[in-house]
Amino acid sequence: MTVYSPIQQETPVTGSVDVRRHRRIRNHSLIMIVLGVFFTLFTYQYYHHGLWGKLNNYNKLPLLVLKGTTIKGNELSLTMYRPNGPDTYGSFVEEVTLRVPSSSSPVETWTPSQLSQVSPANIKNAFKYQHIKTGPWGLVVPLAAKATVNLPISPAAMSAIQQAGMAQVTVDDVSGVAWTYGVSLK
Amino acid sequence: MTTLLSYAQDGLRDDTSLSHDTVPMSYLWTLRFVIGFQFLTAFARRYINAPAKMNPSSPEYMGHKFSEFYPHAIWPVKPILYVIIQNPGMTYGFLTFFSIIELLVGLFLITGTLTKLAGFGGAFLSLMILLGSGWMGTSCVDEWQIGTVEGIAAMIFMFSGSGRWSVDHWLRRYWSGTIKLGRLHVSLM
Repeated sequence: MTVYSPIQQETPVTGSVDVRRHRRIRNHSLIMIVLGVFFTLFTYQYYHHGLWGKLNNYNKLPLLVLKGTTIKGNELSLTMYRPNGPDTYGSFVEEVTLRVPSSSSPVETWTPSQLSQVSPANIKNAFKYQHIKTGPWGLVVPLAAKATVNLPISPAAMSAIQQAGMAQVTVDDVSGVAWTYGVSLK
Repeated sequence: MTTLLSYAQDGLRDDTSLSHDTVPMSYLWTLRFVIGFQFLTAFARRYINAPAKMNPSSPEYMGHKFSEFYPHAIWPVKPILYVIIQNPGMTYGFLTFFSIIELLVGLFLITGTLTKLAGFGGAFLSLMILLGSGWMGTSCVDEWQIGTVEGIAAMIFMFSGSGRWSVDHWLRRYWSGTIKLGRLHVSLM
């Protein structure tokens, strides 16, 4: 009586169809596990820091990157890029202020009504689809949008900034989150 | 034990369903259906349920969605995505091409037609979308889960092909399903 065993125990003949078939299945399985594990672990760590570091979701909270913002002539060229946050809603810029180190109060403030009236000609969008636009209560910054918004600076504020040689711009989101960036004069 | 032995004695030793080494192909029917259905409905949402997704002047246009993938996309998808989203004509052409591939992959996987080729198409689509949008998902790590699971499941069909209950099963009577690409023999089903 022979007991059925799933794997054939007979000594394999090199090059036989059965051996070649087993080898092919083993190789295919190895390719699959290597690709599958690589894509799973690499993307989990890269996107969500799920294997080490602090777990992260770029899609949850808005982030405005103000890198590239300059003051030229009597204008603030405010560059805003939003790489993070929900794709379905927001974010909303309610207030933009300029500060200099010598003064505790801002030297220049753009209110929601001023921001909502910025002319489209003064908003230069970098991408074809995702645009920063004015809304009834300020500027609307959708996910992945990037634009430079030109805002005029009053002569009084401009002289204070020139005296300081630099300024700090603060952008306030409607949620209360604010981002600041040190602006150099050009 | 007795069952196993009786099968063995009945001359059914080669029945793969008894082996720990192999899986009956019919166990994969449901998986093939659900993966195919994902691709099929991806097409259907754009062309049947919500045609605004393919209307370039609509705020729902897919160009916006692809643009949203950009900030955290991974190479090589990121530079390709940039070219696609910055050339509106190309965006439309790409979306149309992409949707047709999704329709074909969906139909071919569900029906089991050229399953290995369809599996390759599905794995490629899913893993590329994973490299583009895998960072998104507000409630959970949604897109990462979709991309990895769909991509890897489709990859398995790329190697396994389909069993019975497939067009391939009928097609195999007439054709080996292998084509020659240079020195390579590529099995499509």
